[in-house]
Amino acid sequence: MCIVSSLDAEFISQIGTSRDLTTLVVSRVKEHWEALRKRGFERLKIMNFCGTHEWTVTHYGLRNLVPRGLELVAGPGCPVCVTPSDFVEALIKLSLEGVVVYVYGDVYRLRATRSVKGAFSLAESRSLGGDVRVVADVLSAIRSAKSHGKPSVFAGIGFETVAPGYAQVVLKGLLPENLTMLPLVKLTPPAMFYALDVSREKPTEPPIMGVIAPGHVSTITGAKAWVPVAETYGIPVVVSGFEPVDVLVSILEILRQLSRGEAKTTIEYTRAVSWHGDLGAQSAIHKVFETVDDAWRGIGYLPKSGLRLREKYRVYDAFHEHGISEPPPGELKDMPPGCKCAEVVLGKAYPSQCPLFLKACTPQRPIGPCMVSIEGTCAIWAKYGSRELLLKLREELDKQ
Amino acid sequence: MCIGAPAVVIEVDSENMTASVDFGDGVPRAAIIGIVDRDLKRGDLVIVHAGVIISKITVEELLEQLEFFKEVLGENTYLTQAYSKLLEKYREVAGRDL
Repeated sequence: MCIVSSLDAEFISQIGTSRDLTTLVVSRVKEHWEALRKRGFERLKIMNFCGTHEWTVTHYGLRNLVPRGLELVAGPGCPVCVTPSDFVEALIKLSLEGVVVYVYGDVYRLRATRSVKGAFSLAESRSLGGDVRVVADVLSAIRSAKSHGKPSVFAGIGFETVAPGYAQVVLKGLLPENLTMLPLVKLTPPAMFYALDVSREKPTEPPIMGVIAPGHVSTITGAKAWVPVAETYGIPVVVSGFEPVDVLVSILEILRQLSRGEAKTTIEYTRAVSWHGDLGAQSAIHKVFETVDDAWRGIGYLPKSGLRLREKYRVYDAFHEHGISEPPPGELKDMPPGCKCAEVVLGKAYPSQCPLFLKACTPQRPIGPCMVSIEGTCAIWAKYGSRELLLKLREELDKQ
Repeated sequence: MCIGAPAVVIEVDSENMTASVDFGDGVPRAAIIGIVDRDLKRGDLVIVHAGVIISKITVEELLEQLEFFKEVLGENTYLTQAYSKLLEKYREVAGRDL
């Protein structure tokens, strides 16, 4: 197991306040960047996987603290953004047929590409009489479903973090007879593989040379889940916490490894993440779910990237109970026209490069899936990302 | 999908792998115990994510985080108030003086 050693004892002894710490980390980042530039790196990208990391980067303006050639790009780390339109449509259909549909708040506003009886989202379905209820967790759905006894479905969206919770309710038999689960849990490492493959297809773009891996996902999976990424692509992977200093230290660790020619998986978020993760949780997930090739919105099927209930637990499975089918194979063309969300989630485009961004598509009236959730890259940029506008202004002023 | 909030465990129902937790607002909420390897008991501090307990933390870590928020955001903000209330609850439940 590797623990981040970017902060050596001498370095830590210099730390007084968080401001001092930040200043020191930023100065170390610049030193390492200069060393890398001497070795020919003019531009490179570091990808953060998790929507909450993108929030930290944008909200605290971390892009302004790192050298200009060092680009921080967001990855596919928002499960709401990558849930195929087909499933949203299936849930709308069920809600209009009298089934009570339980969803998280951001899924409620998620727009499908095709309308079902006039409704593009579950919010619209509710205004047309569909019974859609917003919950914060599966236990609330269970409590509510027990109280009314009507046929109900819970949309189990999420990454590895929620999977042990879903597994426990199945194992403990907590789901009442009238409530089934639509398991749409996605696994993060396969998507990271895909994003890195795509980034290598376009040699003109600066390469992704480091990954800031999701912290809370890794509390379950362990940092070991990221070793194949580091080994296959020969790039450093740092499992990071969510405070701005955490992210800066992770960037420093990536640059430090690059300047030494290393590509290791390390943990910055040692206060929550261990190397092996929670083995009991992993075993519970394995008991209840099987790993399948899963469809990602705007991308298509990625191998072994999703979880579905095992045959044994079919009685709880909304796929079986309501005859919901998986999206057709091939590339999924389920983004609204003009929307660049599929490129945004792969780090190929910034939200500001989308023609709809803050024009037709806003947090109040989202069109693309990345504008819906508070963890969607476009929604984060719309709220906090003034940097691109400032850069554009500066370019224009420079011209005059 | 990584937003997690700290809470204090009020009661553990190990039969159903659920626990009642308090985020500091005095409202007990049910959460599923996602972590299996580490025993949970009343008074433990945990991180809850979408109703799932995914990690156990120490009070020292929480105090450090509160100090950090005070320094960055100021003494009297929503976040520092929320953390202070959680610590108050922790003192009450765990019976520990800080």
